[in-house]
Amino acid sequence: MPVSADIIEALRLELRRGTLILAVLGTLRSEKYGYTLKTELGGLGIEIDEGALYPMLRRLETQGLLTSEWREDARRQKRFYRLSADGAAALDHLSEEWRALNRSLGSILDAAPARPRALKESGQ
Amino acid sequence: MTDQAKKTADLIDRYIAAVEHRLPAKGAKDIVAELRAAIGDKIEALEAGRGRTANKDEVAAIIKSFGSPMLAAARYTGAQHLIGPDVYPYYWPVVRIVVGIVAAVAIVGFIVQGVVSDDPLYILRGLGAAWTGSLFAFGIVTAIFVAMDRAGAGARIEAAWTPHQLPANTREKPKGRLETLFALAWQAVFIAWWIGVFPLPNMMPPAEPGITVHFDAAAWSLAYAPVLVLSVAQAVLFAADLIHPAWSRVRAIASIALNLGGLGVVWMLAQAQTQYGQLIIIQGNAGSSASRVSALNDTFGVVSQVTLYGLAIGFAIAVAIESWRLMRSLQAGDERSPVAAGKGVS
Repeated sequence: MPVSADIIEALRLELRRGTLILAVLGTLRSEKYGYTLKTELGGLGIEIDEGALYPMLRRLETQGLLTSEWREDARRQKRFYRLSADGAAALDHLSEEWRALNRSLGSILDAAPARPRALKESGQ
Repeated sequence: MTDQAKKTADLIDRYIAAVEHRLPAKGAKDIVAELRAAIGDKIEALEAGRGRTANKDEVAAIIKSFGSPMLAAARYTGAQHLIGPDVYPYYWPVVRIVVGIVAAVAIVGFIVQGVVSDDPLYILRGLGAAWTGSLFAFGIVTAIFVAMDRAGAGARIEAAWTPHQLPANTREKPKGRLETLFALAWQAVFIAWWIGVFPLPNMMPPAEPGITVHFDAAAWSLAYAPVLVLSVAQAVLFAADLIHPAWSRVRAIASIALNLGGLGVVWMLAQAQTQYGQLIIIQGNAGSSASRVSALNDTFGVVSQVTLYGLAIGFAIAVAIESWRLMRSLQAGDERSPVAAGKGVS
């Protein structure tokens, strides 16, 4: 029985969810406001829903990983975010974690036979 | 400002007001200012792309992408669950057991009342009480677990747990929860009757005019405290069975102790019967015949004697069974039965 598209989609979202914070922290090494952050991430193939992005930015700021300030830009007040010193340290830590995970997963995924049938044949 | 611009500005104002209304006062202004700016950015980008002013439907679609006011506000406030996955595994069994006990006690209690009072309405009232009590119990337990969730109790419970707490994997069948639940309910009703929460009418035969049957107060007062202690202990044991239905040595020892206690009470009553002559007294008034009262007294003397023997045999059998199970378990070396251990080796 083929795996349903719903299950695949749920797994895909679950897989990506944890990486969003890393993407946001990494992008905010240079200062940005919410909309430009979203479009820049979107341009890199990382879609994030506004409804989730702004609360996440606020939470990261409360945790001391981001700093923000209101400033006028193109005749409108906007809130600009950037990585704090603590945020930069956290980003380094998380990046190393991500790279290590990526290496481990790479060796697992590249080495594993793709289909159960291949397993069965090798067992015979 | 054009009509179109007024309409879209009004829509944004209404959305912002609805979100702000649902946010904690502290920080709300700041959050909605950013939300308004974010909506403005999206509208601006859309207008730049299309080379014209956004219409009301387009603005509505942009607002919708930020979520309904309730959802948008909730995303800014801490926990978005009542009981999280750390605490839920403990919550669900506990709430089922507590609600089950309350419902069972209410139903059994009212059925007893209904039967003894010949008023079927009592049973209906019992159902009502069971429903109200269950809802109340559900609410209380849920509130406690919500507080535990907020206090981070789930992680602490998990940290405190060790595999040594696992129940023994014995060949004795675990007790059925429903059976235990009703045993507990009966026990609760018995305790309530024993301490006089509700009286039972005198249903002792014979219902002859002029003759009354009552317990001998002096003899039974001796048994009052021991019976109460044993009944409460038994109720605690039933409650423990609900949480750990598996047979264990501790459970067996407790059961043996309770049944020995039961034997002790029977012995006390037998002593009292010897001392006071009888446990149940038949009294006649002026109109009843002395020989009839005397005959009934003899009959009740025999009945109480036989009942005491019956109880003693019952308690002794229970002690014997639990002792045998305990010995079998001890002979198996550890708390696992030889059967289970054998399976593990193969």
